Amino acid sequence: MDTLLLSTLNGLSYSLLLLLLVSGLTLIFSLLGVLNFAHGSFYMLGAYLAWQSGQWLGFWGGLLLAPLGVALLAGGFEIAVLRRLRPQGHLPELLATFALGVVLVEAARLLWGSAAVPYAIPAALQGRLFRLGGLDFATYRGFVMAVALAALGLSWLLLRYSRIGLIVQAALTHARMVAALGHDVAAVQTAVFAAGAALSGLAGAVGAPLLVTEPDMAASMGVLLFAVLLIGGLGSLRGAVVGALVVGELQTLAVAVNGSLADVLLHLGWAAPAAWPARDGLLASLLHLDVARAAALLPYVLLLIVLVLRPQGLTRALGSDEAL
Amino acid sequence: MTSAAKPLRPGSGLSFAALVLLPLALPLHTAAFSLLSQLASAWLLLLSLGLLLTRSGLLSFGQALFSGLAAYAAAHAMNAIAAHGWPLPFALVPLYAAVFAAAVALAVGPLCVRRSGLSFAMTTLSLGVLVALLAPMLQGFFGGEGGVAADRTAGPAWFGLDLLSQRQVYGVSAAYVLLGAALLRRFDASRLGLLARAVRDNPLRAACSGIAPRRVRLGVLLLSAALAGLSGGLQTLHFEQVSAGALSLQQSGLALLFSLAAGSGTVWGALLAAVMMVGSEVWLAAVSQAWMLDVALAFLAVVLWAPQGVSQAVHELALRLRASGQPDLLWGLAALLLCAALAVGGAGSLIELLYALRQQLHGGGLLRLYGLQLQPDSADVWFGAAQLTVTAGSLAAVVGRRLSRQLRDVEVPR
Amino acid sequence: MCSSRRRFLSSVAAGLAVCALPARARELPVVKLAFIDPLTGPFAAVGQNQLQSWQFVADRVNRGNTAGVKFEIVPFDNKGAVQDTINAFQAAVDQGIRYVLQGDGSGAALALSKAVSRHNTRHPGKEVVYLNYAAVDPALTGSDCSFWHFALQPSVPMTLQAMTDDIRNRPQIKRVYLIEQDYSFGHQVAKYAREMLALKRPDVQIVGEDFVALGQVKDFSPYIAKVQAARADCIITANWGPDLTLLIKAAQQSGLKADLYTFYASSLGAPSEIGPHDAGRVKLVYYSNPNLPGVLQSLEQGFRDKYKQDFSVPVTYTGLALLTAAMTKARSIEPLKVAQAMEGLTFHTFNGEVTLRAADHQLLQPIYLSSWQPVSKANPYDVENTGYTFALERTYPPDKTTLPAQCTMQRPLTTLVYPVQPPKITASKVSGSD
Repeated sequence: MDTLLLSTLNGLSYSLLLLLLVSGLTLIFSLLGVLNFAHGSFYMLGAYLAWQSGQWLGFWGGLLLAPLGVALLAGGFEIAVLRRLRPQGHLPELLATFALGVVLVEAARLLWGSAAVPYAIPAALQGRLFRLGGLDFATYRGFVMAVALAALGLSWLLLRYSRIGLIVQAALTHARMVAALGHDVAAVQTAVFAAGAALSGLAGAVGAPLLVTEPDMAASMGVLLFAVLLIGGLGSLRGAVVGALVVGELQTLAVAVNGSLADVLLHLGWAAPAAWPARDGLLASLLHLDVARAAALLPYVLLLIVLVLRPQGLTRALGSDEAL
Repeated sequence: MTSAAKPLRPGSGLSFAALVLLPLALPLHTAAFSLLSQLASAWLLLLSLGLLLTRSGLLSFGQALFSGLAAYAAAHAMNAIAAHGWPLPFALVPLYAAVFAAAVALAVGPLCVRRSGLSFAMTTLSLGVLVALLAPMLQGFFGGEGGVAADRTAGPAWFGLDLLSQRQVYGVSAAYVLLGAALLRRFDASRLGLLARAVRDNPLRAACSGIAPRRVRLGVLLLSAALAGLSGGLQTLHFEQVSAGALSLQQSGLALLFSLAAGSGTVWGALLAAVMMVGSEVWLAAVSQAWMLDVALAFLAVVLWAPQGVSQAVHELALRLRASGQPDLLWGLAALLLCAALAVGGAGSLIELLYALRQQLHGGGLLRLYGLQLQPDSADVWFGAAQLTVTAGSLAAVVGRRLSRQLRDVEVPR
Repeated sequence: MCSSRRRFLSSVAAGLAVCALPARARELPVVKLAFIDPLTGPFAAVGQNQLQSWQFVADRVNRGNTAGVKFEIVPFDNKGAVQDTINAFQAAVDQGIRYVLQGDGSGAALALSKAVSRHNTRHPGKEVVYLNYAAVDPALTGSDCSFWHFALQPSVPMTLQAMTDDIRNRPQIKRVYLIEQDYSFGHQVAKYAREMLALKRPDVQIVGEDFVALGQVKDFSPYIAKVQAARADCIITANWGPDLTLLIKAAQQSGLKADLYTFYASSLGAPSEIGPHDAGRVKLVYYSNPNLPGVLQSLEQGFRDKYKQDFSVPVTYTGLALLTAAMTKARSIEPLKVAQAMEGLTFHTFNGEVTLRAADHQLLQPIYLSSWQPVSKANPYDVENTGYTFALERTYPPDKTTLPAQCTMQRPLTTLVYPVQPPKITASKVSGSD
């Protein structure tokens, strides 16, 4: 039981990191209608900027500078490229962000090399918070959870209660009216793109010491983010929370399950599939695939199920333009 | 990007066929035929993507699913024919691969086509990623780490076609390219082709008229998958090896990228896309370490200045030039192309210098660029490249602006 | 008078001959080696380090060797993909290169081995030899073995022999957990580990076996939790890349007490990620150890001075030592003759006297068991500037780890049709320490 509780807590820290990433993505999609394919690259850039400025200013300086740097770059890109493409529709914007993503990864390779950089947990945050089931719950994981919750709480408060937040919320659904009232909607859009990127950069800065900091981290995180986003429901912050929690815990807890479909069928009384040799044939191999082995695939299976049964995501209502 | 299919000029089909068959008459080197075979296979894959996008308005992020699974099926078929000695020539194996891919599309298609737009894109993405991740785990169909190997010379040789030489492989590929082009033409003129465009433009109205949008989309998906299957089968024939890389997300993503950049809904657009794709992956990658960066920057430029796709932009430009009736504009265009080429050369040199500088940190040497030997850490070289880029780039911008101003107001007869 | 003139003339003749010798010495035959491995893409870091290692060792060997040849490394980028490997091979063949080097990825290795065999069958007289310096799938020297393929690293069963031998000699290990990557390589490691432990220590229990999807898992803590719940004493893992470093980091963060037997803890970047922690827990079973005395030290020092990175692929030195020894024996640079000379050849390299077994073209060399410890007088090499090193614990000579060959390969007929080019100058032996 203790190990299960520890696993759930570890899964929670992983979920909160995912949430930090996906909340930026969903924010950008809500206001700009653009699926930001460069989000994984912003995450990677945040990690590298944090490490590099950490060399000069220490871990905390790096943590502060990284989201700022990423926000600056994202804002610049929005003004220079995305604004020009906005009249053309969402697809050119999506492609532009995809190109930016690749350019950022290659630039990181050029600046810091293709090998991983040793971005490690700072000495002040090493050690454990408590011990459960014979294993430590690392202090740094608690720190990641705290940072994620603080950043998200701050963003939510800003959106809800500040003036700029109200303008953003209004612009989400009535952009033209907000512009007619005299607010600079284009500036708001740039600010939101930069803020979403900053959240992603913060996730990179704070999460990378737990993981590996290398140029490939952008691609490996990128696809998972879309799965989380779509499972929860596009454009809804509540959906991002649900999606991140579901995917994070699913991936973590599925590892503990050692059964396969063949075992389930056996339980239900059908013994034949258990006898099929696992090596021959596609179907037999699939039946004998342990859930633990498939843990990394489960988000995509869930995404498929959600897309087929409830394409608007788990938390949203069906939009009028999505019926057919 | 979702432009209507333009009516084809009567001669363009013949000229395309002539172009495809021309290399067979020339005494080319093996390496050239190898490149051409890869071009043919890429053409089919990119055409399948372009077909899906332009006729149905559907973006497929997982096309490698169809071409990859078909490639595996082709390899297994070749091995089975060779082992059992069946009298089936290997030249027909890509047809089997196409049918296999269509069967896969029939199985998963209903899941994908329930909604169009983002739903379709994300469903194909998740399917593609799922199968790509499962492939190394399931060793029955997908082989071990080495994948599945096949020997294209092991089959029965009909009409002297033993597929030993690359020329013969290209011959088979060319035949399938012509088949694909013919299928596309037939599709555009058929009822399904018209319905597809109707469903793309206004699914609600089509549904009210009694057309089932899902059925129509599934039909287009089947054709698209069949073309992708032909591509996969040809790849197996050429490389004689299939591995999990054929299913990867990178493969799907790159294909979609080039399809969108070039606008591969027509045979010529697909040809341009294939040349760009194979050129980047095979030629540029061999010449420069910065190939991925160059491709991404070029893609960004295309999205900024030709968002409908390069072939569509070129077509528009040609129409406007002809309609304007001013032959002097051609000089302007030539000047623009020259300045743009110089600017691109300068920017490319800067990138190469950057990479060489990084290499220098690890004990590299001189940089060989366009046949010249350059010292990466000399300021003169940097200054020269920067100056070239800036001057040529600004000249190109000036000329381009004047040209577009002249062409913007031209009346184009449609 | 006559004899002195004769003596004068002969001394002039000798002087002229001596002057002519250096001119011929400058024209040593150049042997081009095609290096086909990832130089761009996700595996670029490892591939670039390997290319630099080959170039560095080639520079050393070109200063003078018994075969009297000069090696030139020609790089080709295969981006880690099988199709690009085949394209790169074709490009190399079109350039007239007859020797191919590859190692990153058994998938590409298997594909390349087949492509080389097909090419050699279809184009007799233009054969190509393939030196596989890092891929260790046993099929390469087993079911898919080929006369033209030579394996320079110990195969999976050989490494596991050493690993399970160490476990056998540690009675305190009673419960073993297997964590492998979910593809054929990982499954083979698991299979051989089970078989060998069952033979050597029937009392040892395999308390768990987990396969992780390649490169997908970010959070290894649930696997560590399973290891802890099973109360395992040690983990055997052949993971590489982020799958290894993330596993080790998760084990460190969770404070797991179990030992970790690895294949690839010394690969580029992994030691920095392990960091100066956890002395004695992470173990490495490898064909090399950075603290080995002899030529390896000067190679490591020279490589670090030039490239600022660790010399983590010493098999490159073995590869060129093998080629020069074989070319010396065959007195030719023709691939067929060199391949025949390589079979059964015993030669000297940085880790001692090694033999290339003729039956399956597998190199038989010592395997070392090391553990991650702080730098000490006995083990002074600081790995990747962490202050720690792989301290050598045990050496397993080849006869302890070698398994019977499982290969039936078709050999080409031996005929002396190729023109033989004997080296004109025999310089000093392969450069040792300088």
